[in-house]
Amino acid sequence: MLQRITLILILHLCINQVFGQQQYAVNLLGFEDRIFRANNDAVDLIKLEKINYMINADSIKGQIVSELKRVNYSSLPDSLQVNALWNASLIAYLNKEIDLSFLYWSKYNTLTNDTSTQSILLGYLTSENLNKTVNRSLYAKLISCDSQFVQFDNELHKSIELKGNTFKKVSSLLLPGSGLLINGNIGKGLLSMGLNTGTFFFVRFLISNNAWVNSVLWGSNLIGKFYLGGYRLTTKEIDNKQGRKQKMRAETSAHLLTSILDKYPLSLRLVY
Amino acid sequence: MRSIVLLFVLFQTSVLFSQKNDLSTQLIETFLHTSSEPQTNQKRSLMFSKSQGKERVGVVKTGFAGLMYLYQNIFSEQISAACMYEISCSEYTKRQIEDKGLILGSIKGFHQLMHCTHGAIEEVPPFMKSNYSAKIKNSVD
Amino acid sequence: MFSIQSLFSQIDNAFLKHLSDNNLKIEYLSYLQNAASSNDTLDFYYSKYHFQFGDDSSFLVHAARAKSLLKRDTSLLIHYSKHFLNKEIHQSNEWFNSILDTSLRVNDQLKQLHLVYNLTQYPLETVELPLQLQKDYQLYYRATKKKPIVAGLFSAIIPGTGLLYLNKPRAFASNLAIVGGFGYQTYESSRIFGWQHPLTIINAAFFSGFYLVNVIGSYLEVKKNLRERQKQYLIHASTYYADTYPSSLY
Repeated sequence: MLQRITLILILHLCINQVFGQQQYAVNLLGFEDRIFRANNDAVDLIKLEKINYMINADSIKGQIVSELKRVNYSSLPDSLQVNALWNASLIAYLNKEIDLSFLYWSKYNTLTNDTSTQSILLGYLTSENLNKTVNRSLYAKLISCDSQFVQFDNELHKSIELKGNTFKKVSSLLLPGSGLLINGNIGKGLLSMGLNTGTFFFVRFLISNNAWVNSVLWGSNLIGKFYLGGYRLTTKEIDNKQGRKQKMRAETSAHLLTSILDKYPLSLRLVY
Repeated sequence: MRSIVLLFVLFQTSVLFSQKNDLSTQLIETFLHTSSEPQTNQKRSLMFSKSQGKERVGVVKTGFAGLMYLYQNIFSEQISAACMYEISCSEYTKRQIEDKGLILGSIKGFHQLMHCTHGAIEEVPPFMKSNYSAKIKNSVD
Repeated sequence: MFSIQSLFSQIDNAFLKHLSDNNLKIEYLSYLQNAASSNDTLDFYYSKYHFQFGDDSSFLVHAARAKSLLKRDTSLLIHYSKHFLNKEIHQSNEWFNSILDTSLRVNDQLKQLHLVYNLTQYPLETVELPLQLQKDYQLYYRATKKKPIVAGLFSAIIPGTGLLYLNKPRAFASNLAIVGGFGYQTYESSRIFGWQHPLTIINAAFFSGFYLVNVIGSYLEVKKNLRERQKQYLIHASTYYADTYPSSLY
């Protein structure tokens, strides 16, 4: 008896899932049919309705971005335009379309001049890599609301430039492998030293035995590969180390952002 | 009966809870994506990725696989190998050996190695040049 | 909740064009799944759906079933033919040899496209082609006349000459340099250190290995060269006819 009930429950959940998806597709089609048959005045309102439906169905990734781009927001009444632009900015950001997100946020801000912390925060996040002037002015507003943003911004813009990069590169040219050792890559540095030393002694052996063609061909190939390769590897490992520091900085900033979002949550708004 | 109802209620609650927190998690995900460059994993696999240990493996092939593994993961970065082809010569050799056997695969791989020069890129038809990098497109077929 | 039953009893081509123009994959598929229409018509529109949303294998299945309807739309046939000039060989073969048969090749443009593709199966020395395609076709035709065994023999006598036979002077130079270099190194080290010395053995191993690769590689290069020339010709043809023969999906 217990097993039958469990089985019925599982089937009920699965069937709901499958038919739910089919009904979703049919409903989208219904909106599109109305868009196709509507006159120019009503088209954007129906497109907005479609986007709302997709938001309510928790489908905020993928196709919704192309739906956002289809809407002519300036033709909407102000009362709808405001929330529509807010949603568009947030959804574009979630879909990693930062340029688009900033564009919608700018239009939203022009329309409303919203001074809430959430609005400034969204503008700050979207303008980070796009518009430094706007980003700094928004930062100034954020720190006047809450000092928590100071720590976040400091962490985000903390310098990750490694020191002594030129010294490591020059060192690897003068003594192959030493640049890698200084950078902290002990195994690779020792191997590079060993290979270069071996190449030197091998070429010396060939020259001392008058094997000129062998010394030129083997020497040029091995020296070219191990010596220059070691220098390039040093440069690459320096970049890798920088990349790891950048990643750590991003993770610490993300941790701070999580606590900020708990306090000032960004959420989608009802348009109707 | 009571335990089933409790399980069902717990399941629905957890679904609702995860939906509520989902937006913040996605925002953090986007933030991380924009704040750091993706790191590429340089480590290459052993040769027998396709066979998954079911095939009988010969001594010579195992030895060759070991040498290739050593070369790709240790020596190739020492020489900062930069192949003219999209699939590097060592990787191409490995895939050809997996596909066509040790002898023919090695020949095809070393044949590509002999053509891995700047002059070679000028002699391939235009469609074989990658649109995104100055490399020659190649495939195991 | 929206119910579709009453509205979509007949397939509305204009509405499907609207869905296609706006790249609405989910809606398009949902429309076809719920449309009440004959099998032929459904196959015809399913072929358009698969053509646009990237599944050539499914497209071919539905197109084969909808041949009678395809026959009425020459612009669509031209559109499909241009697409299949530059696809996987088995798919292109299926389109040009099985589906686009004599009954469907109703105008000069379709006949020309069929000829352009067919030349890769049955190459002719003299054929009337547009000026822009003649050079690529001639390179392809010359590649069909090259024999692998001849290239292999040339490379066995003088390393790299098999590639010169295929009009690849730079590849010939690199092959000759590598094999010749290792050859001379082997000779020099055998003269100085003797044949038993490890350096001589290594040089000899590299020399014989690269020599063998040079011979067999030249043999294989002929077939590879042929495939490349064929592909280049078809790609150029596809680009040329994309501009010259206007067509559309709707």
